[in-house]
Parts: sequence; C-alpha cells; structure tokens
Amino acid sequence: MNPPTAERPLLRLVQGTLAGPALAPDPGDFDAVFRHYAPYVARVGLRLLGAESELDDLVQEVFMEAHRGLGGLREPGALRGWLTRICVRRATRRLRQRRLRVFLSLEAVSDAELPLDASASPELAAEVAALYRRLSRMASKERVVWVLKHVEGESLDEIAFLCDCSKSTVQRRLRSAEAHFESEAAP
Amino acid sequence: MTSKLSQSAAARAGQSVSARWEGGDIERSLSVTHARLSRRQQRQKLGVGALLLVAVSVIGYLGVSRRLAGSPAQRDVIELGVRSDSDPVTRFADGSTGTLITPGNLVVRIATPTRIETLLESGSAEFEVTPNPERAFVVEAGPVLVHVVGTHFLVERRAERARVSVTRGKVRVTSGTSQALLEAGESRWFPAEADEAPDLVASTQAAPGPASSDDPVGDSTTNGAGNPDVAVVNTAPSTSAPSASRANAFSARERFVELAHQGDYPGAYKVLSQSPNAVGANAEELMLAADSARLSSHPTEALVYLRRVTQDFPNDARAALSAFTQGRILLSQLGRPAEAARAFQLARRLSPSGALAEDALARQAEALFRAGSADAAEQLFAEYEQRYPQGKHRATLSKLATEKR
Repeated sequence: MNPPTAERPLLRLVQGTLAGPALAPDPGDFDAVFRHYAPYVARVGLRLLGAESELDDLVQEVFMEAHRGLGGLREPGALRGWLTRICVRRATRRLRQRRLRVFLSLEAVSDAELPLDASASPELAAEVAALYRRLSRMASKERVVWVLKHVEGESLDEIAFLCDCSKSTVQRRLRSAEAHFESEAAP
Repeated sequence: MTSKLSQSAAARAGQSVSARWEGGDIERSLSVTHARLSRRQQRQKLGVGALLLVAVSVIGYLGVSRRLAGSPAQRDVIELGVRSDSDPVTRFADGSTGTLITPGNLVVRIATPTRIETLLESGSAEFEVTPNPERAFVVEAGPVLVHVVGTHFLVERRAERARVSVTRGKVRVTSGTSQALLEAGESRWFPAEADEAPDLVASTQAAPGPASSDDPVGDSTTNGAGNPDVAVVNTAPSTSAPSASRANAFSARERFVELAHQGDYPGAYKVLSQSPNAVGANAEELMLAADSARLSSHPTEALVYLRRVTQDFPNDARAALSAFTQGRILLSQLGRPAEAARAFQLARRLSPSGALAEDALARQAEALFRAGSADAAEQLFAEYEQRYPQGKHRATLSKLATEKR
C-alpha cells in the first residue's frame, strides 16, 4: 500500500474539510452549495470516471439527488461527505453502465482523456493514461475502491463510509483489484 | 504494470489529475441543473395530476358503465349524439372541447394532462383545442389521425375517409409520402380520390428522420410551440395498417420524453430512431433528443438536433448552449476542429456575455489551433488574455500556441 504522503494534495473527503465549517455554505441555499462544492465533486468524479466527457452529467446528477435532501440536512459540516457519497454511488453506476456498453460493443474503449496540470510531463501523462486504461478493465466496485484508496488517499474507514459497505468488503475489493493488476502484469 | 507500480502511478495521478472547473463551467452546469430540476418538478406535478385524473376517470367510467348497463355492446362508448339526452359537448380539463354536430359517436380513449385521445367512430365533430405544447391532442377518424397543438377545425367521418375543415390556424396533412397544408377556410377529404391526388402538395416527401436537418415538420411555422395555431394531420394510406399501430406512432413522443427524463438515453434514442417524428419542434424536446443521442454514443445524430435548435430557435435561452455543445462534440468526439470553431463562434454570437462566453472563446481558439489556423487562433488567444487576464484556459492555450508555432 502506498500511504498518503505529505506532498500529495489530498482532500479529506469525509472529515476535516478544506474550507472548514465556518466557510461552508448554508445547506438551504442550493446555488451557494453548488458553487462551493461543484469543483470538488467534479474533481472526485473525474478521478473516479477517468474521463471528462461524462463529468458534466455526473456533477448535475449528484446535485439533483442532493437537492431533495438538502433541506433536511442539519449539519453543514456533513455536506461534503454526503455529496461525496452520492458522487461515488453515481460514478460507480456510470462505470458499470460503461462496462456493459463496451461488453455489448455499443461503445468503443476510448483512451483516457484526463486533464492534467499544465506542469505535467508527457511521460506522466502517458503513465496516468496507461493506469486508467488498466482500470477500465477492472470491475466497477473494485476500481472505485482502488481509486479512492490510492488516487484520493482515503482511509479504509472513509472508503467504507463512501461506498456504503463494511471495512472487510473494502479490503476484499482492494485485494481483488491488486490481483487484477498482478494478473495483467503476468506473462 | 504491477500493483506497486500502479500505486505509484496513482499517487502521481493524485497530484496531477484535476478537473478545471471554475467560473463559467460552474455557472453553466448550475443553469443546466436548474433546468433539469425544473423538468423533474414538472413531471412530478404532471404525475400527481395524472393520478387525480385517472381516479376521476375511473369514477366517471364506473358511473357511465352503470348508465349503459342496459346496452352491453356500448359500454366502452361515451355516446354524445345530438339527439341523445346527454350533453353533445365533451369538455376536457384544459378547456378544450369536442362537439358532435351530427348524430354519431365520439369516444374519449385517454384524458390525462399530457395526452387526450378521442375516436370519432361516426358523424361529425367540431373541436376547439386549447393551445398547450405539453399535451398531445389526438383525434382518430378512420384512416385519419389528427394531431393537434392548438387550433379550431372540424372532422367528418365517412366510412374509410374523413374530411378535415380548418376554421382557424393551419393544418398539415400527411398522406403516404405527400403532404398538404390546409389553411383557415380550406376543407378536403383524406385519403384523396385518384382524381383529387394532384391537389396534394408534392413538394414534400416522406416523413423526415432525425438525420434530416430541413425537416419540414420541424419547420418553426408548422406545429411548434412558437406557432400554436397549427395542427398536424396524418393520414394513413387507404390500405393502411391497423389503427392501433397508428396510435402507437403518436405515443412515441410520450415514450421518448419519458425515457429521456428517466435517464434511459439509449431507450429514448431507440424510440427516436424508430419514430423520427417523435420529437416535437420545440427547443426543449430538441435538446432532450440531442441529449438522448449524445449520451447513447450517437454524437453525429446529436448534432442534427442541436443544429435545429440554433437554426429554428436562435432566440431561445438554450441556443447558445446548443451551439457550444455542437462545438464540444465536433472538437472532442468527431475530430472536426474547423467546424467546431464555427460552432463556438456561433455560441459566442448567440450569448456574447453569458456564462459560456469565456469557455466558448477559449474553445474557439483551441479549435482553430487544432485546425491549423494558427493566425486566427493567436488573435483569439490575445483577445482571451485581454478579456480574461486570470482566465482558467490561459495555460492550455499558451501550451497549444507554443506547440503550433
């Protein structure tokens, strides 16, 4: 496992928000919530989906689902984790649908189209694209758990919360994902 | 790539992969989200209304059934003959009416907030239809199906023929592969007899599909919401398919809209591909059709619907978004940067200071760079830097400019 390092720009998805509760918008103000959290949801969604083409729709779906429950949310501090949970669920569903379309040959497997920082080298871009190509051949739930662990740097407890499953299930999915990488590397 | 290597690549991805979502992106997405929420709320209201109407219809049906108990053969018919004791006028909840003006039968098949369907079994009936693009109003009279948006006309049933007489608005009649336009004061029998055939306008051909950008039915002067005094009359050939299949054709629109609203875009697109005329000629449904095509991996077909929005509804609030989406599809999915640049230019022209303005300018410059028009792209890049000194696309455009120099 690769523990989160100090230089990694990790955002804690569940607790300890970057903005902090004091700056969090009023959950009753939908537009303010959207403006505050949409970039964050987009970032998490992009890393989970590995493609920019579906990002708009994913973000809109997340906030449409959130719209129903915003009024009943008592703690503004819980908003970020709640949105992330919706995002993870929606992204998992999209990944599953994408795999099904590819399986049925309705959609070609496309190269990763991830926007990288301007400072990223061509080598890094190629490495990240190769990683997401391998992830595209992995089962959706295992892929999501693996990305949350290694790209986002989340703890097992946080991943269990976000994926609405037990910690042992998270560990099992991680092992399965790692076995997938090993089997792909095997001659 | 082994697991350890993958983890180190993931760590680097965590450092470098970042969605550039700021300013214009957020505002654009927020406005689209509001539009989608609004549609969802409308659907929920319609659902409640439909449930109430169904309940009322069931109660009404039970009442009619009791009255018709003595004549079992007519239990499914609401008889509205002028010589009967009952009221000859059928009044619908939206204010529309159907009035039998000669003895006959007018059957109400469906009456919901989104669809009213009647069958003129015999006789003549006059219809006054309240304009409402959200609700389909269909009259079946033998081989003729009249699809009304809002107008005043009369249908007379004679065996396997029907005469349509228009008193207000316009009516488009489709018979086989020909079409005729009836205006106020005109009256004609359908299907036409052999010696009447030349009367049909031969300039228009078979029903257009989604690939036809000059869709005559999609013309804003026909049955669009922008011109509510127009009706569409479809006639089947004299040796036509059973009436049930014709009715199915008219319910395609509802099926497409429902599936698209449910997010079943492949299902919605399948309906569209089977019934190209299912899309109403209004910006709302065209955008919905474009979403269905785009999100079911049919980008070229999505372009057709999007172009109809910008061509037919340039003043609609969604026109700029439509042009912008065309550009994104042409640039990212179809690899046609020169056309993409023109689409982004159109988006800017349609909404020079809207939420999309910055993105459209940057994307136009990017498309021109990719199309090899470096000079024009450089000019736009300079304009971008001047207008948006802290713009989020500066780095990307700068990188492109360096590559292309």
